[in-house]
Amino acid sequence: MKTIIACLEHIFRQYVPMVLFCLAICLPASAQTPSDIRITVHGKDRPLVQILDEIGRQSDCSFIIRDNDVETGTRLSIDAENESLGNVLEHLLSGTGLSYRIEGQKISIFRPEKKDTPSKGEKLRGRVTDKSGEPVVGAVILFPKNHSNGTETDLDGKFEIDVPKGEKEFSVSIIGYQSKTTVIPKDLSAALDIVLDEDVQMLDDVVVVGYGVQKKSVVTAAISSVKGDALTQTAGTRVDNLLKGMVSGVTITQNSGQPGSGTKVRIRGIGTINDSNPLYIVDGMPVSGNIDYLNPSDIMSVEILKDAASAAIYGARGANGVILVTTRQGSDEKMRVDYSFSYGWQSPWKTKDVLDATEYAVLMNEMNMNSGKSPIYDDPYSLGKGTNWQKEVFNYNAPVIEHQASISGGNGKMTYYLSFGYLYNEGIIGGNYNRSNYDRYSARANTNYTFFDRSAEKSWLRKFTGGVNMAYSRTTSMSIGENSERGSILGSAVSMSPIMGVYADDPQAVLAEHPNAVTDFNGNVFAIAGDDFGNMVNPLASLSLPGDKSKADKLVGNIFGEIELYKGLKFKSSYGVELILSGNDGYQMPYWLGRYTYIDRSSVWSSMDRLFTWQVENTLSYDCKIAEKHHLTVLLGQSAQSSQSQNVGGSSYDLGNPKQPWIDNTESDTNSRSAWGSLSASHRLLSWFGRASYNFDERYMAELTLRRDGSSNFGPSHKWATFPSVSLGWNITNEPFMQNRPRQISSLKLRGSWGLNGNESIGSFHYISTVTSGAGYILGLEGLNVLKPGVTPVAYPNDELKWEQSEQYNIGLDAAFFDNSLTFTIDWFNKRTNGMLMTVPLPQYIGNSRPYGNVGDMKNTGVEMDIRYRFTKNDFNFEVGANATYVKNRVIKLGNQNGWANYDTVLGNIGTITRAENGEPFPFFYGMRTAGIFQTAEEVAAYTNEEGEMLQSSAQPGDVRFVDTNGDGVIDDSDRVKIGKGSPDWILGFNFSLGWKGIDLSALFYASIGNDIFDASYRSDYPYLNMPRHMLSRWTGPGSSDRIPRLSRKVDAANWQSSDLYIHDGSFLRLRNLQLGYTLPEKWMKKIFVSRLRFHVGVENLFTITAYDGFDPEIASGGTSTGVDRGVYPTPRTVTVGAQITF
Amino acid sequence: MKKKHITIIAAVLTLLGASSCSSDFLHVTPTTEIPEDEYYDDYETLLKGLMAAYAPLQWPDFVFGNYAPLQFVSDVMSDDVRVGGANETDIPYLHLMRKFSATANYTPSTLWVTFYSGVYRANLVLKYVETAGGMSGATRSRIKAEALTLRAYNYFWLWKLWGNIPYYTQNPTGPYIIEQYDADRVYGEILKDLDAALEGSALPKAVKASEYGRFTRAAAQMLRANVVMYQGDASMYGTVLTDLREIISSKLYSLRPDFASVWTDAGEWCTESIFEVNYTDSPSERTWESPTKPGGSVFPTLIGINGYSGPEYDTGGYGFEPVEKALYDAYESGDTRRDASILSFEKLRTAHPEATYTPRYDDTGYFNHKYLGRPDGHSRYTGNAPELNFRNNCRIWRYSETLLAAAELIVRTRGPQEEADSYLNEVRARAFGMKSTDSAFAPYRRTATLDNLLSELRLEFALEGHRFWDLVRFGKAEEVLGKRGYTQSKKWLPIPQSEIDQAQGTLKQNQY
Repeated sequence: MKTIIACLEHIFRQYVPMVLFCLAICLPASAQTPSDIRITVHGKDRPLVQILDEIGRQSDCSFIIRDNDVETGTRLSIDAENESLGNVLEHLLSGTGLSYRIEGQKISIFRPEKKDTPSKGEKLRGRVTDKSGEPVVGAVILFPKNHSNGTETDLDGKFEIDVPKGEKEFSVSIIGYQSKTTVIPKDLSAALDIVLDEDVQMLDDVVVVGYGVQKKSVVTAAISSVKGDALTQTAGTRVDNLLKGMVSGVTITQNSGQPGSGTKVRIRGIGTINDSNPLYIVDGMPVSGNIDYLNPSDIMSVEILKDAASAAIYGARGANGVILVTTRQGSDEKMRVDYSFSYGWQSPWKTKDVLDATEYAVLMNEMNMNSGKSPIYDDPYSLGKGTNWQKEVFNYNAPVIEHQASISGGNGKMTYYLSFGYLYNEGIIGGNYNRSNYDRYSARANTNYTFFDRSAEKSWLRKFTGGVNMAYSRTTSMSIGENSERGSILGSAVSMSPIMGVYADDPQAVLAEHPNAVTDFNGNVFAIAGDDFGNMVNPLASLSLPGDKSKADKLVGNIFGEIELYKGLKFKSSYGVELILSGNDGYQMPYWLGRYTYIDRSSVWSSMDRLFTWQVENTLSYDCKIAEKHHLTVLLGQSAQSSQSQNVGGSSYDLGNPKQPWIDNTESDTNSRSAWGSLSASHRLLSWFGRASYNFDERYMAELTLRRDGSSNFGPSHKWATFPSVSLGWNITNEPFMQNRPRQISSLKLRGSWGLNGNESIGSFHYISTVTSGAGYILGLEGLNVLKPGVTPVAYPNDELKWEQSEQYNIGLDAAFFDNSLTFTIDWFNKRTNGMLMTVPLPQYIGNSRPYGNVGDMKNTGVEMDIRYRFTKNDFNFEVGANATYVKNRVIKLGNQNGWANYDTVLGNIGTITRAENGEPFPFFYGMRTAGIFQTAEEVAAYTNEEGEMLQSSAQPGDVRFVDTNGDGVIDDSDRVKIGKGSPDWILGFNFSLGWKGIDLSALFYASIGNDIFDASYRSDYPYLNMPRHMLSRWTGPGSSDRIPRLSRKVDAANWQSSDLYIHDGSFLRLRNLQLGYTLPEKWMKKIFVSRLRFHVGVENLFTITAYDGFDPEIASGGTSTGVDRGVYPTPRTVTVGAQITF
Repeated sequence: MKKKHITIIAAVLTLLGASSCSSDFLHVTPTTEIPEDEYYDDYETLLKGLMAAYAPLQWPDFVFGNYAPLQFVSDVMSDDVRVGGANETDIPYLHLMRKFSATANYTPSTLWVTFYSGVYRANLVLKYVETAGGMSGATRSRIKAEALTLRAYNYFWLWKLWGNIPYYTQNPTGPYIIEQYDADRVYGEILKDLDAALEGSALPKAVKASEYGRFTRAAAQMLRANVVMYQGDASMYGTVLTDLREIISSKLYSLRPDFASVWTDAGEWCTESIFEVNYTDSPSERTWESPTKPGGSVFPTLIGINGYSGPEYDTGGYGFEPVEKALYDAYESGDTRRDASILSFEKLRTAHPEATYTPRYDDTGYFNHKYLGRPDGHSRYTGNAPELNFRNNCRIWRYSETLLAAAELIVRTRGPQEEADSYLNEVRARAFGMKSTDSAFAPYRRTATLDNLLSELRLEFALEGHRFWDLVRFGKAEEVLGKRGYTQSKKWLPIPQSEIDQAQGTLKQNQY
């Protein structure tokens, strides 16, 4: 620590003289707005000099008057009572043709220059205004052929210029507005009125980077930015899900369609076998887990830091990319009130084709007969269609309701943004049983204060500002098990016999056998699926049980102050906290759903978790321009963070009254109650960081970042690590030799970066061996037994554990054409994670859990592209954007001798289905390769190895022919190979929006290409389960099928072991959102004091084009790998109507 | 002005540095976690380490998601039982083991992990036993002897099941690869530990009731006898026979007159019991989610009568381990062990005509009576896994084994035949509800020959997991089990494939 301070002191000694040097030659910042100084001055026909003298005394300013501009003895009249300096000067000088400029304590009075132009043509006159009629000052008027001729608009937005010969049109341009080219009229007698449209893109021309903002044109790193307005265009409840398809480089997969369900967000591929979630920073505060607590309409922008150079400022936690969220702030405008409301109807967009009652009976009979048994059903065709379990289970038209209200504004001294949001989302499976529901209340107060602003008058201690961002949210969710082969609701629905009814045929008999059989609220007894259905149970009975309720209160806030110590030198200090109080409550009454799913005794439980994080950050930044062309920004900072969690919970049995399901209401004695509680050790991070950005004339950019992080997760010798990065950029179009480039090319920028990031999310104390209790043993005689406590080490330690490091190269090109209406960005990256932290895959004979080690390497390479085109003509505007991401992920080294490790498994006969292996994507689907079906006994006999031995001697006609992939002459587990992968090659997003008068239409498409699905939703080990309809094309005799084997009651593990029979192409194209809106004309609205009113109607998931016949090709839950379908909860199709109103 | 600069810079520096003044900040103290090397430093903590080393004894019946009760795993390889359950894929490795076609992927791998966990924990106790303070020399040597016995017990099972196994006495450090010993060498190492444990009088001859469950000298002696006799190491017969005679002459143990009552609550830790693994329904922390926690047993549920309706027995059950009729028929009439060991449903129905059940796969109508769950067999358990919490202790060594083993060793070493006969007949007399001196017993009296002893072992220890190992060590396995697929090479199971894979080529698979 001492050395660090010493180091800083050293930097300061070096730095301070430089600062002073910079200050001395720094140009004044751009034109000042008239300051708040109040002036009282009266006089009729007084000499100008005298008036200025008086103003000078009152305002403590001195005047500079250019002799040539102002005639001595000019006399003017003034009548100002306590008016601002600017107003006074404006009044005074109006009509004189004079102008003024305030520079610190000096005010210069001058006559605006007019360029001497060869007066070979006629004079073109005009006035440039914005849409609201306000003059646009300083707009540049240029002629295309003759660049050296030009002028700027004056304070009134007026201009006058000679038209050079041969020019047919002229352009008006200024930053912040879209450039406009106008044909020069034949008749120049009348002044032209030119109205400029605000350039949204240009206004948004700053990008939020870690600890600051940067002008987009000088950004050298790979950062994607999404503005809040774009997010609220599409309906949706979670911010992370809304980002899907918006930007390149980010793969977002929704876990499932369950309300409140999370998403898997991967920036530039799967960076590590460990936690590869990005770091989320909301208004400078890192938030744990995810950002589902955010109300999407509170968001001003989301920036995604993709490459190492941009993420390096977050060093230790930046390896998986960083998502920076900036929430809305008030602005110095009049008060604005926004309210929006929407109501949506959600329904499943697809059902899975399964057998109906007749087909089921036919196939069951056939299966029995194939196994040498008698058929079960006498007359399958009398059974008809039977029960459509999916229809019974789905909750059609499940509502999703959203209210948002915000009020914002400011008064020069402070700005405020206050908002409130409410969301209720009912699930399409179980929502009507209150088993799959989500609601969220969110409130936010963002306020900013200017404590003092003396920047007009002082060089030192110029400005002191501060602010508070506070967000509170409360979410309540009920969720059902999803994507599990162990009897999830939908998994059961597709597996139940269609012959069985929802309710028991003979309720009395069922109740007699199982008194705890489940009834609905009318007392009807649900049918019970027999033992043959294993984990699969009557899904409606299952839904009728009480669920487990999770609640979370989340408070995220930060308070900051910023002092401008000297021009451009700012010190900022912030303190942030995150407090999450969450918990689960639930109870169970005795029930019987099936042999493997029953409870004999009622119980109730409750738990509370508390997570508290604080963060203190101090940064010193300096921004200056040297000799006009050198622009330097330096940032130095420190950050410290600590978080700790605590939990407590209890449970008890024999609940008296299920309407009051609390532990206090249980009848069991205190001995049968249990309680638990723990406090985690603090997780702490201590960091120092610095960044220097330099650009020369916005032509050559360079940026250096260095962060040194210490983490409490590592042992004494490996706590600290340093993460450097460097990035370079070249704005080719700013080169002088490019001045005469074709007009179509607006800008070209080449970028390159390199950097190291880290990852430390592995939990604490893996570096030492710690012990745990709970390993007791029972001694004594029955009835007098005592539980003697036992204590044993948790796992093997590894004191050599250190940071996981990811090294990344990035090369990018930003291009813009046709006055920035067409933009294009492409990035190539190569990211390698070294020393992945993972449990060392050791034999289990070591007798305890394996230690963590830095054993693995992984690599992601890829290309990302974004293209956007905007077009505006009169009332019509059109925008179309597309992005594409290609990622190739490879495990370089798993860190074990054999170079592979198995991951997900599926119950039943399937076993291991995913594996990681050196040189392959992480993870991939793993199983046997098949080569059709044996059609005849001769084919079985002819399937031999080189020695002539039969490869599948026990196979019968109709069984699957497996491939001896390793060619060892035997078909066994060692023939399993890669048979697919769950991650896509390409992620594509495509969106367009068009507006005409008040009508707007937008659409967002999302596509995933090259991903496979492992369809594990059919459990072949329970032969009585219903089957997917494609089983109808099973093998029934020679030539009948070459893909689906014969049916057999005898559980033949071979046919349905993990193989490519389970693999389906999971590529899809989805119209994520289609929305049509209408904004009522402003002139009508003004009469009722409404500034904007928009109605909209939209559809989410209107269609999905996919070859996959399951519920949904988008599956992130269900294991390490995406794309494992164990009966996924599909995303619904939602029709939404809503209105937005602004006062 | 200059002074002002300095003030500001100083202020900034202070602020930058203030919030994080020391890298002590990164040194966090564990809250719940306690470092191992600071922990086992006195009697109390060492004892907790020892208890943790005992804990895996009760894991086999259900742990890490697999059912592997030692009796059942052993007996499926014998001629006495079938596997049962739902079908051939219900606990597949048991079905495969019964057919002697286990594979590296279908082998009782949870037992592998269980026994090595026991080894690890015993090693840990042995690591700290010399340095921990606060105990007398006798206490220290008792704990050390218990840990040695535990290690030997775990290796004994690994050795019986897999033969050639990685062996270590100090928990490994990087690179964590352990040498695989051949079976004979493992035998030698196990014997070394037991010799050390039995040296002097470190282990108590008897423990007080509140310590039932900890090793006694007799238990360690029985283990040594098991190890030596399974190896067939004639050079050690003298030593272990002395051990057995010591147990017999100590008069601490005696056969319980009523054989059936051995299997009740009252029979637990009775005078006949030398060692048992405790299972209890109270106190219990065992749930399906935390099966390594102490508590009850799932074995009674596993072998329970499927869909049973009737008196005397617990209703639930998965219908595993149907007993072969041949075993039931092997008992002579009057042998009380038959009905105490095996429940014939047919016979039950003659007494209770209303009793019914739903047969499961490979049903025989005969059930393992020794461990069948009784109606209140888990009644005191209050958690959510009653079926996992039956209180039937698992009997490891009964005094009758001491007698029969002694008889066998006398026969094998051509010792005094009368002594051998008396031991055998003491066991038989009890079986017929008599004293060996009763004249009525005369027709049941047998001479102690190897053949007689083998069949007596089968009847006395039916369904206790002895039969297969006895067939192997008597050299009769091929004769009895050959038609089911047993060959010499089936003595050792395939080592779990994952272990072969992770051991980086240092682990050689058994030829199975």
